[in-house]
Amino acid sequence: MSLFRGTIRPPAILSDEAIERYLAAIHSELAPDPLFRRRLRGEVTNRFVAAREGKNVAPRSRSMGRLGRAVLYASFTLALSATSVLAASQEALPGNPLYAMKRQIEDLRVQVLPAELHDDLAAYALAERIDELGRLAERGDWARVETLATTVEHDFGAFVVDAAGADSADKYLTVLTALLERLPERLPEPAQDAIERVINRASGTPATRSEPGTRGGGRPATSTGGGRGSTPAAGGGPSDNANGGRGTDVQTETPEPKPTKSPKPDPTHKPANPNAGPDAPSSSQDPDHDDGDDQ
Amino acid sequence: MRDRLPLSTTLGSTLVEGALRAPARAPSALGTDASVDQLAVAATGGDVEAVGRLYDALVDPIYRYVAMRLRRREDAEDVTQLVFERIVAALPRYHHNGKPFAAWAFRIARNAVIDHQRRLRPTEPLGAIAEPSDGVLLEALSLRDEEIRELRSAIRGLTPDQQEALALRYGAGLSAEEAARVMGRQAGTIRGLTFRAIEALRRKLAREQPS
Repeated sequence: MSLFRGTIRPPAILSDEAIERYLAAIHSELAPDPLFRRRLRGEVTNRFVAAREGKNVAPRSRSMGRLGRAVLYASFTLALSATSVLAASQEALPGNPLYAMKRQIEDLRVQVLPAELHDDLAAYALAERIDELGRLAERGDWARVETLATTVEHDFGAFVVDAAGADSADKYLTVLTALLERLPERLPEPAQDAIERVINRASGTPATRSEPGTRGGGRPATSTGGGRGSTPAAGGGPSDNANGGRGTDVQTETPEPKPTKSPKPDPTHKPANPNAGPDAPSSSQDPDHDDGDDQ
Repeated sequence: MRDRLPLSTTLGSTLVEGALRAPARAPSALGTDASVDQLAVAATGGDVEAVGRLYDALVDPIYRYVAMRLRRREDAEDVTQLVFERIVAALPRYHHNGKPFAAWAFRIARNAVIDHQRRLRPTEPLGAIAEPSDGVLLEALSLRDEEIRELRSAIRGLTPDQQEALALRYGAGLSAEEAARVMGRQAGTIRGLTFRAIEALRRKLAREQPS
């Protein structure tokens, strides 16, 4: 401890005048904000006039108290949680409890957004299914891969039917094909077959079109349309196309006239239920729709 | 210590005689030199302009008093707003009986400050009173001088009566007699409170001077 601290060195003395000067400085600093002063003036006179005329004076807009802040924070947290759940559902895979919510949101988009966006939404949904297929394959969930591959095939067929003739159809088909080709090769055989059929159909090879009733390297067709999977607004199928639809296939460079009917399916093949996905919500199914082709 | 007058005179006059001049804004039936008490009487009769001029005369002293008693600018504005709402609501019941209107208004302000402090006290940490943090405090927003900040911190260490006396005299700029009317004390008591408060501040600040 220093000897020069405390007793030897005399303490600094503040005069009363100095303190008064400080207090006067505080006085000069403590001025209301001009905006606050002006606003409050208007409020005071308005309240006075309202009270004089016997009108009900609105309750004072107090600044938010602790309870208000707590409620605000709680609401914010709740909204954040709900948003987080929605965001998490977008990453959900079949088998996940949030997967149904994801599909419901896709359906909701179709119902809410205008019809000209439905092709875009269908392509988006199809890309999502393909992505899910790849992630399921990475996990080795082969049972769900098989089911989802069937769904993809069905949805793809529906998309081809519905988007045929649309400007963006080629672009979407290219993208979807690229996504399909990036899927792991080591899929179960039924799933692999389904994916190959889809790729062949997407490529629109003339060879496959030359043989009615077959798609993709001579493999029997399994998908006959019948709606856009889970999109209730789609409702397009071969029978619809036969009645003035936009066509049955996408083939922009085809020189030959488009067939007016969908290829005949293999009668020995049981088309998979497009909504037979492990957790897919019940989607719109036309009860009058014939799974087979109209003869 | 000598009694202090200059800050009272900055308001133009004293409240005791009811001669506090309202700022002249526009020609009025009351005249530009109407006192606060005259404005108050006119306001009780429904004169809107008198209310506006009454507000102009009182808003600065009341705000300064409230701001010196409270720590946050937001609280000061909130309580000031509450004070004027109470004044407007109570105006019809105000009867001028010779007592200054400003003392009546400052009593409303004093009660509002006390209510506010009571509401905050149970949840306010003790350390926050003794050692204010930067960023949200009134002085951090308005005062730059470190010495003034120390002084404000020291003021919070005074007794409530001493703080009240300082806020009325140095914040609102009232004389000892005016502050006495607001606090319901004798003027000599207010002078004693002020004297002891400044003495305590002087001792406290001298101790805190770097050796």
